[in-house]
Amino acid sequence: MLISVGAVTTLFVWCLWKVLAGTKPPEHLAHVEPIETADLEKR
Amino acid sequence: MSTKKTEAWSSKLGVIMAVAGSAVGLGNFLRFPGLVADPETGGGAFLIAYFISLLVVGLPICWVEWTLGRFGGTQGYNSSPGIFHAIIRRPWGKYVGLLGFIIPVGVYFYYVVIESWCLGYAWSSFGGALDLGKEPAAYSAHFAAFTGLKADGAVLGLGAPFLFFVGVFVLNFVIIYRGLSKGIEFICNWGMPLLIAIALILLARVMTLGTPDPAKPELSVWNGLGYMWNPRDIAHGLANPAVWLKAASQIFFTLSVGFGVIITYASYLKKKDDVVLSGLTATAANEFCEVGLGGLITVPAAFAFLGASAVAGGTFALGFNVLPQVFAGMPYGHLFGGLFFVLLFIAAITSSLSMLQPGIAFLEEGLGLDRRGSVALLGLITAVGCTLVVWFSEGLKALSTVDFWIGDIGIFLQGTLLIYIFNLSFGTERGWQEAHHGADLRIPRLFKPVIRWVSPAFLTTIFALFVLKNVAGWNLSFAEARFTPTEPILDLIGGPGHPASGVARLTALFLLVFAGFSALLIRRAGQRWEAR
Repeated sequence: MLISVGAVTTLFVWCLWKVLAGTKPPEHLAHVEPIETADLEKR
Repeated sequence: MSTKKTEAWSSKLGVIMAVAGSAVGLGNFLRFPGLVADPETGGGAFLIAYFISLLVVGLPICWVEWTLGRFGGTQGYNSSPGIFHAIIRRPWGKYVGLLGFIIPVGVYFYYVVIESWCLGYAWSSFGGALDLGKEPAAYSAHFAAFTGLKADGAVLGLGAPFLFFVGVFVLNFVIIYRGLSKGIEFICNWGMPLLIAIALILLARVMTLGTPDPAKPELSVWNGLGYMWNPRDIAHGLANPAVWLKAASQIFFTLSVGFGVIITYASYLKKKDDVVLSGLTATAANEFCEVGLGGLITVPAAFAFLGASAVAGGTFALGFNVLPQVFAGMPYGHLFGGLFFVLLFIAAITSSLSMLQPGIAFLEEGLGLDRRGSVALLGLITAVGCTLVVWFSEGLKALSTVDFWIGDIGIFLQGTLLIYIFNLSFGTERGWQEAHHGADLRIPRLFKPVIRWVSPAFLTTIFALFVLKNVAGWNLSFAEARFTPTEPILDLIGGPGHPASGVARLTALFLLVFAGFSALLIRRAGQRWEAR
């Protein structure tokens, strides 16, 4: 019981840590307006 | 021309929570503990077979499905028919994805009904209405009345069971209408941590039960843990094919692989989004809930109050008959019981939502419907299927028929197709490279030959054993082989002492019509995809 429960708990905690530790904040690039294709057609 | 709005997960943790939510269900807390506690096929041998199956079948196929799903998404497809259309690139390719549509939708037909039981029981428990005394028969009677077990059509009307069902059905569609990020991801981001928190509270309560009745010192939580987790004769168990069949089947069903869900969920990832660590984390979350929580709560509690005989029944008996009686016997049991059924409800709704998304994805991309249209059409289809299950409730015959042919056979078939398509159509080497695009973790190289050779062979063997045992009725013995028709077969064709069931036949016919209708939709979708 201890081996089974311990193994799955350790794996889960390790995975969560790896996911959360690897989360990067979003990079803020220079603002770019999204292109509306309808606008292109009007030109 | 307007910009196309594509759905996407808002975070890596979000998709992991969603996949974990899909995987974690009633089986984690009710079915798995019963299997471990089984006196004939449980114990240490079962757990060894279980973990080997996790490494050889569960995890590899999980990674395969995540990989194929993300690839399909980069090709512009989010549904199984679309994804297989993109992978196989033959006119018949899209039909391989047929199961990926009918399985999640078909399972939803009965799963949402069970989900409504959980909510109804939670309501009853909090209100004290589930304290029915010490007689087991009272709890069985309550379950029978709530589910319509004794007679078809018994729960139809304005009574609590039907109102709970309608409420839960509508709730699922309200959430799915909100879309991937604001609907499914939002619910799972809150629901999964809440589920784990509730489970930890219940675990603490169970572990501190001690010996509830001093007059029966043998009935204690400690003995309950021993009953469930003692190794027993491991060598004898591992030589029993029934042990391997139960363990591998449980791994397969618990991870929601071959369900058509993970492949759709992963299709909303971008090409550079990780699938290796995400797939491993979702799997680990499921196993933590199953082995670490489910394995320590329900059976030890049932044993401590009622002994080994209480554990012998199936999933429904343990969850809806035995455990209410257990909670009724403890201080503040109505609160703990209510929490338990809230936990089951959260586990169920995060799963049922996942069953709807593949259908929504297909109707949108295959038929060009918008969100409103796809929700309406899927709502109509599932309303018909659910009505069948709710109406023909006697003996839960319609439910068990759909569960067997779609939820058991269908999933095994889809999972087997998945691993063969990955290796033969997509290519193992190409798939291995594809899986590692953007990966935060490298899959150990040992898994490459496992995915190429071991997983397909193991899964094919288990599937064949499953069919031989549960369809052909083989007793898993070579020396004294016997084939006895099983209940799903007898329900359809009848036999001595077991007349055919009209409900089972009607349900099977409905499923065939549903499959045929789905195939026609896929044909129509294929014409649209070829034209674009």
